[in-house]
Amino acid sequence: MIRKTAIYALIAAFALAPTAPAFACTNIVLKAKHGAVVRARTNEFAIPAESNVVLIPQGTELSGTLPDGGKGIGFTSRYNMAGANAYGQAVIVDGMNDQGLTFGMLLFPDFAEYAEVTPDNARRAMAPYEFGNWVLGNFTTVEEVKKAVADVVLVPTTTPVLNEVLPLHYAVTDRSGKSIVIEPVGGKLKVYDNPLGVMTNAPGFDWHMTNLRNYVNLSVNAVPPIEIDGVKLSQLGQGQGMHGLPGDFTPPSRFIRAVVFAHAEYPADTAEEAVLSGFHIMNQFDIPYGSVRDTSGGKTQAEYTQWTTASDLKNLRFYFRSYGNQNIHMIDLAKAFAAAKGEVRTVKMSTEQPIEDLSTKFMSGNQAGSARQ
Amino acid sequence: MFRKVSVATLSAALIFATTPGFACTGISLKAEDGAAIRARTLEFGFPMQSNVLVVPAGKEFSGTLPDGGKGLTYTSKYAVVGANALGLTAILDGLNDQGLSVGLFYFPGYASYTPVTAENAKRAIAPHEFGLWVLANFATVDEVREGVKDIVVVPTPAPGLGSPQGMVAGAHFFIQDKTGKSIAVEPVDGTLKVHDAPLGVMTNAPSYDWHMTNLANYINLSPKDIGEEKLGNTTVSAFGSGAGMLGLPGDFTPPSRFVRAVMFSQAATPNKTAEDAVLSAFHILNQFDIPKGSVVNAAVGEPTPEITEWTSANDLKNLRWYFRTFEDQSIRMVDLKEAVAAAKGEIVTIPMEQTKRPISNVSADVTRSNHAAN
Repeated sequence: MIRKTAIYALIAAFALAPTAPAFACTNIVLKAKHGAVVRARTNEFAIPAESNVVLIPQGTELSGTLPDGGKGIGFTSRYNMAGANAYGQAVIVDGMNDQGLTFGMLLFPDFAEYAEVTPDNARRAMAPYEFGNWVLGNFTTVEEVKKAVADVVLVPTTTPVLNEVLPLHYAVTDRSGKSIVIEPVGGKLKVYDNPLGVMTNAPGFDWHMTNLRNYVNLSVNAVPPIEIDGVKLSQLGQGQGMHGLPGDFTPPSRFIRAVVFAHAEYPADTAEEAVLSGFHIMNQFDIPYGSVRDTSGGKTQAEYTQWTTASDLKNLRFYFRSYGNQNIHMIDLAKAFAAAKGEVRTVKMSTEQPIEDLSTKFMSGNQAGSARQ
Repeated sequence: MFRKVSVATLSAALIFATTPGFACTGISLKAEDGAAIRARTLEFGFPMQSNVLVVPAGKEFSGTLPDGGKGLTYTSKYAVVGANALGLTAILDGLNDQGLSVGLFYFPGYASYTPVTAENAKRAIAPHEFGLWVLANFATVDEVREGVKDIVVVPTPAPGLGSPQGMVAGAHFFIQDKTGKSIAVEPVDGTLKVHDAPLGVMTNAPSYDWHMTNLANYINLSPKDIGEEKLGNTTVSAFGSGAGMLGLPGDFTPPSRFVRAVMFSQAATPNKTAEDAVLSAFHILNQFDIPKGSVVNAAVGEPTPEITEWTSANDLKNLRWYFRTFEDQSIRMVDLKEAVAAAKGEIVTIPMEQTKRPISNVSADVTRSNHAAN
């Protein structure tokens, strides 16, 4: 269960640093009828990530950053990409491109092991937080990403503002519904097929998939009554088939719940309905403020879901809600990039909850008059 | 663990035979400004067609007997706002102008009502009429505690529930006043049993005292993270935050929801104002927004997914009833005083579902990025 000591001592030191804030995420993929694919995820962090939606148009010059601040890989983005950023950076933490490819970075503490920079690999190198821009800026399908990851290395460059190397792994899904997980292990990028589309955090993806076998007893269906020596026992309420489902917020327990909820879901008729279902499912991972407290570094911080996103890969729409504003917002990539006119732009992620006042919106014709009294 | 066979066989038969699955979760929060907030979800196997009912003070009401006759009659003392069901002048969840609130929760297999007699008929109301009776007549939990001694709840079907002639709603009730004092009222063995509910949590079967005792099985749980464990020369560390809650049951049975609801509402960090606490309550209740398909009820006919039809929050200080629905997760609110003033003495309804799409399109709201591409 305990991994071998990392050979990359530098990274390990960063990843285990007592100041690293806790950070959990849950990722699912839903497939609607007629082939529409929606990928949704939550993002938790104990300190505000100040996220907005950043639009990065095709033709933008982007480059990797080396640990010493030098320039790594350089490329010109081939596709329009949009997604949630952090701290005002033109960096996509979670988003999609105009080819229907979607990407999310999720925290991978204690397990992410990046490559050391060498003169040989520096020109292929980028920081862990820059990987999303590279994926969405260059590729259209999961197969393309799979082939290309061997060409790049992720090096332990600190993240701006946070000033630490973020231990990350990545979820990628394309418009056909094919999903992969990419994990930096032993300095290399390991790619796993992800047929269930679910991802959380530590440990490695293969461990989570094996762990699912501990829960094959779970069922969405009601349990029929049984009789033991004349004593009849029946379920107390609906949902007994799921007894044993773990309810805590550790990554392995969230992984199990996400698989169960995403795959129990009735297929939606349209992509938009799948998006709304995705937000309902992600409600299960909207960590109640105060229920998960990080006490590392001598300070107690509540970990909470700062935002939740859903990417509609068919209609190229990026949906989001924030902790402060639970209403669902959407940007249509085609419209947003038309409005951005080739520049890097941001759309604000609202954090103020509007509440609609219905106090006097009475039903016309006063139907209550006919109600039984 | 198992109750005695109910004496009210009529109601028992109706409740058991055809009842769809129906689960609800209730929590309470207290804001730093003193406001008591009571919030809950409502699940049902078929649409309850709920709307917000606005009921002014001074209205005549009567209880309904199982044979359709008239039971208890009363004139409402207080104005009431809350969700009804199936077009009935009944309150599933709401509050009155004194800051008293009530929620009806399903109680299958345990609710046993009083048989009607010639003696008690004039004190009788139906289970679905209990909520409005409480809110129309009382200002505090202590008053309700005394008041329930004067009535009986009889097995009268709720019209439209499950079928046109309806069936008896097997229910228990959660009541909270503006001080935050809470009780659970349960119809057991033909009487109304009152339990103190200091943690402010309510779900469904079995009875309230069972749930409170069951909490002792979970005193190991903590919202704090767990550090490293040294086992000989081996160090074992948690995968991430949240290990203090390992063992928390994740399923949607009433006992498991009760435990989770206690943990989440007790762990909630203090909220400054009533509105902050209302928004926190909606976040907490997101945990009980049953994903469609994860709980399938096959009790009657075709298997149907149980969904959370709506979620509500009562602000007992500012007298506001908030809600969101399955179709539209945006948060809406009815201010009791404003609504009652506008109702001009009439009973009126406010639709809970609207036709607009619940998504804000912000595609064109682009602003110049502070940071250019790197």
